[in-house]
Amino acid sequence: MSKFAYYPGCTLEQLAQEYDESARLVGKFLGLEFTELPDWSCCGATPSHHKNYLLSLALAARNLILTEEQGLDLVAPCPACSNRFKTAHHDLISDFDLLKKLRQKFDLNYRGEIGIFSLLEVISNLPFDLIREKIVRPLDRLRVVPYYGCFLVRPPEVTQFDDPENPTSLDNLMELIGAQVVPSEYKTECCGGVLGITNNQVISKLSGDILETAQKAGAQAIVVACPLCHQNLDLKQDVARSGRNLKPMPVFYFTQLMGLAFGINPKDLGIPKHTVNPMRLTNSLIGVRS
Amino acid sequence: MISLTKPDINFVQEVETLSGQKVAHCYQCGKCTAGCPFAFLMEDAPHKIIHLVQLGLQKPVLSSPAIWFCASCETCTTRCPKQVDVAKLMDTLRELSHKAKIIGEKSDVRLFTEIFLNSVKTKGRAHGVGIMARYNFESGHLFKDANKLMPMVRQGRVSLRQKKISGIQNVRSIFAKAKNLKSF
Amino acid sequence: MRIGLFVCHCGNNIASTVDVKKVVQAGLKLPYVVFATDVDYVCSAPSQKNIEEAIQEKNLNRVVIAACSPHVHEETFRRVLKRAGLNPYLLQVANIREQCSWIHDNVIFATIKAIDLVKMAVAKVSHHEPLVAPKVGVEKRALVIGGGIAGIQAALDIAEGNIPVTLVEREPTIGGAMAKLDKAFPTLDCAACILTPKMAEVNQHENIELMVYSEIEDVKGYVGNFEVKIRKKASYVDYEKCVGCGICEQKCPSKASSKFNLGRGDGKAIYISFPQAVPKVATISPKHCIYFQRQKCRVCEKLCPADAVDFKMQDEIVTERFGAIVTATGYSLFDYSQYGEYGGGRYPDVMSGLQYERFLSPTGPSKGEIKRPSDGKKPETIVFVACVGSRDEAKGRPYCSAVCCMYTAKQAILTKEHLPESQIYVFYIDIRATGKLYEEFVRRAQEEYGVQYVRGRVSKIYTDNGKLKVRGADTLLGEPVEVDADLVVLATGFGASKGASTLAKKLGISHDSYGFFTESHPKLKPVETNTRGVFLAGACQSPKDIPATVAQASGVASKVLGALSKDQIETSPLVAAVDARRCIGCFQCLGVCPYKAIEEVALNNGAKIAEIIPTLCQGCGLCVATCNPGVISLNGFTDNQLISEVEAIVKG
Repeated sequence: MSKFAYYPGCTLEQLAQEYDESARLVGKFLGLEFTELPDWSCCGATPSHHKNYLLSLALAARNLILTEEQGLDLVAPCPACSNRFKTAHHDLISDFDLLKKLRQKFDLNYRGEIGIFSLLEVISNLPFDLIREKIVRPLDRLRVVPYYGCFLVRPPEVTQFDDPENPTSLDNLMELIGAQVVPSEYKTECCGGVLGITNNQVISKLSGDILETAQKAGAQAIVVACPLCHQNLDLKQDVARSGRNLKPMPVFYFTQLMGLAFGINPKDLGIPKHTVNPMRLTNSLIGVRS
Repeated sequence: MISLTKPDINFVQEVETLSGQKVAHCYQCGKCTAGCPFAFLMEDAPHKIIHLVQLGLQKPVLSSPAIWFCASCETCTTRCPKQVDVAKLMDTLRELSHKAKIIGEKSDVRLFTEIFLNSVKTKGRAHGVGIMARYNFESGHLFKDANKLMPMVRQGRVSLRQKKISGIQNVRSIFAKAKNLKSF
Repeated sequence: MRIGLFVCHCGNNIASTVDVKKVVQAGLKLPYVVFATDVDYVCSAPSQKNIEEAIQEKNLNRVVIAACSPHVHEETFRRVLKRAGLNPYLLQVANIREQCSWIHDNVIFATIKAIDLVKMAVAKVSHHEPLVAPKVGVEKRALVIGGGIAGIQAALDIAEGNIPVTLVEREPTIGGAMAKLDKAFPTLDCAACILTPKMAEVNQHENIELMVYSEIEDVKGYVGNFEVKIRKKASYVDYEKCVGCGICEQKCPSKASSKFNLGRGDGKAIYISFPQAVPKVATISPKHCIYFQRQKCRVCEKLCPADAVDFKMQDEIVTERFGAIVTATGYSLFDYSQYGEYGGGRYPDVMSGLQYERFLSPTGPSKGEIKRPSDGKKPETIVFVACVGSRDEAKGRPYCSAVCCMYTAKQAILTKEHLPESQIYVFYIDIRATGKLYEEFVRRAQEEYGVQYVRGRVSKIYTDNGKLKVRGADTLLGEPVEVDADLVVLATGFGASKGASTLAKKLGISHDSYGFFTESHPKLKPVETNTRGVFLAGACQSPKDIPATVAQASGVASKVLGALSKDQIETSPLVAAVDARRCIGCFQCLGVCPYKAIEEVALNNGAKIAEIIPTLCQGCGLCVATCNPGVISLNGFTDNQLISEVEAIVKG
């Protein structure tokens, strides 16, 4: 199973382009065929179900139906999107009346026949040998904390992926590419999510705790799989670090680290775009003098 | 003195129908509150919100600012020993608060939600920078995260326009239809 | 054919919804009914006497009683017929209470339905033939499975009734879970001190045969006549020779984790369970033994002064006969590693209540000194978390385990005694302290010992720099709270003992979805099962504390002594029988019989047919329904009888 309908989502298209670029590159390297879902629309993310459940269901379902028309499975790098899609799918296939309501009131006809995956899920499900043979420079000088956030693993009946309390898929991938995984008790503690956009107090407490524990454990960087986690931890790291005595700490997307291990140029992976300067660490990992 | 004599049974039923959850299942163990990353912002902790619903106290619960501080991180739902979908209940209470026009929110979260959804309705996709700019303007926090603007421009994250998708009518019709429906 | 009809008012229970007098009138019009009357309470002594007199005076030869469910009083009414000189099976009960007056409220329709039910009963009873209950002999020996406090008490009480008891225990020592306790609530008695005299008594009692390290292999037969195969497992130490000196354990070079200490603390491949073990003998665990794994060592054999080590030992199966069986197989504890949010079993300083109890015990891994397993330091702050794997639907354990509130209070008090300077928190949801002096005990923990009770569950336990961070809630304050702890004790809940459902199958008894054995009636028959001759006692039935367990064990002993006091017992004649002339030998019936009551029997001409063993048959009717040629009939529920019921209401 290597052909997917690729759903970038609004954030990857604009604010988190480096995740999109590195995801597509790494996908290609691994022999995954990602075809962008034609004319996809916003999944609704968190604001939709905060406003109106049926609205959130229908917005998500439109994309599920488009995917069904392609006859492919769906992969979404952004966990908010993958979570919305999995939730819509889960709710629709477990409630026949809801499926009917979607058809009758929204004229949206979902058959429930597609598979829906987060990008981390697809890549971590690949045979490790396949990934291993692409590695040209193991990142063996990297001490990294894998940070999962909320939407990849919760709630477990919907996400059906890894473990909601102590997930290891990202840990395993990082070890595979040679990095030293620094264990963290904050793997699935919320970074602040959507509330971080409007509320800096949330970022300074929640994202701050994640940064602090990572740094105290001796990590050099944090690796994430979510653009909103990345924004709270990287773009707004000054807010996260406020009131704490912490050094700046680069935050990478897992696809970027994998790309580095595959020998891809940091620039092509969008690494220089990060707010907290990642270049010194990156160059040391790939053996370039800074 | 809170009178429990005439509980608002209709309210309780409405919450239960919309959320698909039976609030009587909650035995107030507090595990949701204990694990909620945002409880520190909430005047009424999550278990207390549920108890207010159990007692049928519509106005106090819908006007509680607490329900607007839920980020749907799903920690509560994942760990609840009675398998109550607490996050879903929060969604339902937000929806009902809109419907009843009893809004206790003080944090501009609703404003952000409206601006975001408006962007989706207009273009089919959420225009990140446009939403942030409009939020700053309408919330009056004109210079919020102003120090982020230049870094973002340098990083190429600022796209001044958002193209409309072809199927924009489909999206707009979804919004129109949802508006008139009571959410399941 | 002279049928008598008695319609009961049952006070208001029937009469307020069914017009009893109308039913009597309708009954009188039915075929063969020569006498009909209504009675206030048919089960009362005077009414029973009246029925006896009516049978004799009116020369009745069939009786229909329209009253409550046969489950309640069919036996009572059978005895009435017997006293009146009539075969007790010439009776049919029409249930016009549970199946009529209690479930309807329209008097007109309820009365019509009651009349229909009576019509059915009258038609059926006219097809009844006298039946004779077979009698079987009784083996006056009892088997008790499980040597914990329940089994020990039951064995002692039965033995005192002069009945020989065989007590089978699968561990090398008796004592069960109670032997692992340091002290017992609410008295704070030393558990071993009150248990060991009983254990010694079991070992010495002339009427008790103790078989340790043995398990039930197979059970055949029926009440009064059970044939049980018991597997005496190979311990590789001759228990007759072993004197329990312990040299072998001292010198054994292997490493294992101590089973008695529930995985906390080191052990050896050859071990004596605990100092007061009964019998005090050593046992070898092959999977930890260097000789069994790598064919080296044999130090224990060389050093044993009694020459008791025997690596060539084999399992031995013995067959014994018993009249009654008691299962007292105890419980197991919920595996707390299922809670990922509590560390998933990864944190050494987070442990279960029973594991902590071993640390409190002077015979435990730290000799009774409370130390953090991670670094051996004395803990300053200790947190107890209640309801771990209890009252948790998400984990499939919605029930309350009955004892955890009490053992948590006990452990909190004992901790304060060991470490008076320590700070102790108990996160609870409700306090269940229903026994004698229990409430006072829990209050003592809070008022006298200063244990801080916090009302709320714990959402997450994680480590930070050697400390355990406990994130809980104080619902009374309405706030999340956090405690930095050095040690966390999880009050894990009770579940069924390992292997319970397999044993249940062997014994032919039922269990609930959690594996707890099912009692015959939850209120009135707590120590019997629905399988005659098999009884139960203790936590194998449901979570309970020691006082309740001992009471139930003594109760089960009285039932066993009663069952075995007769030389003969009657079994029910309402069993199925195969028409041997018409059986085609397909044996479909054998495949569906839940009681293993059907066997293949060879006829003189070599053909094989099915035969039902009447004493094993419970009259469930599965074989009757399964038999394609229809050659099996069920006494008391024959085809003619059942068809007549249908015709009575269909043909009016």
